[in-house]
Amino acid sequence: MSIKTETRGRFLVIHLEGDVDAYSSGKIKDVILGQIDQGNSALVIDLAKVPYMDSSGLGMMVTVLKNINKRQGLLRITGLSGDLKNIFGLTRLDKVFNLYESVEEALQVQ
Amino acid sequence: MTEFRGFDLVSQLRYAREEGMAGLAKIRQWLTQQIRPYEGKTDSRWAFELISAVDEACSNSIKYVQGEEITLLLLEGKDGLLVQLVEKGHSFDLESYWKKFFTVDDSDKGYGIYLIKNLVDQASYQQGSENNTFYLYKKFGHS
Repeated sequence: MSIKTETRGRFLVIHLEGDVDAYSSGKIKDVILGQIDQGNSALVIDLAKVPYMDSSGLGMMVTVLKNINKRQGLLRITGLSGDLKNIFGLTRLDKVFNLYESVEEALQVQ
Repeated sequence: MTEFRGFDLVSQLRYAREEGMAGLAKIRQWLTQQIRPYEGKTDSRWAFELISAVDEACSNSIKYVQGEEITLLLLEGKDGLLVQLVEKGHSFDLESYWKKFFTVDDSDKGYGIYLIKNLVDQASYQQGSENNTFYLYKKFGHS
């Protein structure tokens, strides 16, 4: 699993690469919550290179959203594969998160 | 619980619990390879769903059960595949296990069992004198 970040305007874009499972999700959560603690409350999380996510990954995303909401920030998720869309849909998290096809699309929305 | 009869063993994998969550990817890779011959009867979404359900069951077993080893059995039936997850060599409080496993105590937890129930056609759990077994059955099909 690799985590890369870049600043694009007011957003911090976080690119995840690799499986987000019970092994990796704790580390990812720590990194993202650390970024929020540093004052980055407008995040785009790019999952275009995440082929697999399990329930702990979904829980991690919900925790991140809760932290963002506490700070009245913004969280946008991009690049879900068909399999991940299926998982988000089954758990109805597709209604909870703001999902976009690409980082560019997420950044363009006001 | 439903009894599964007429299934043939395809493959098995022994997983040492001490590998912890770090070995989950190995389990997913093993199952991915084993179900590849069934591509004609299934599709990639079907495969992802079975792998996800097994991964969730393994993850919960590693997290909550004290046994030193998990054995995964893949069996083929006429209409689908059955994965048995056998937890060996331990005893535990079944009541608290199920409580942990099946209770949604926070909105950022509890997706695992929900996913298992929705990703396979049958999911059940049987406690034996020495082993406890998860049964995860998914009918062949195209999503």
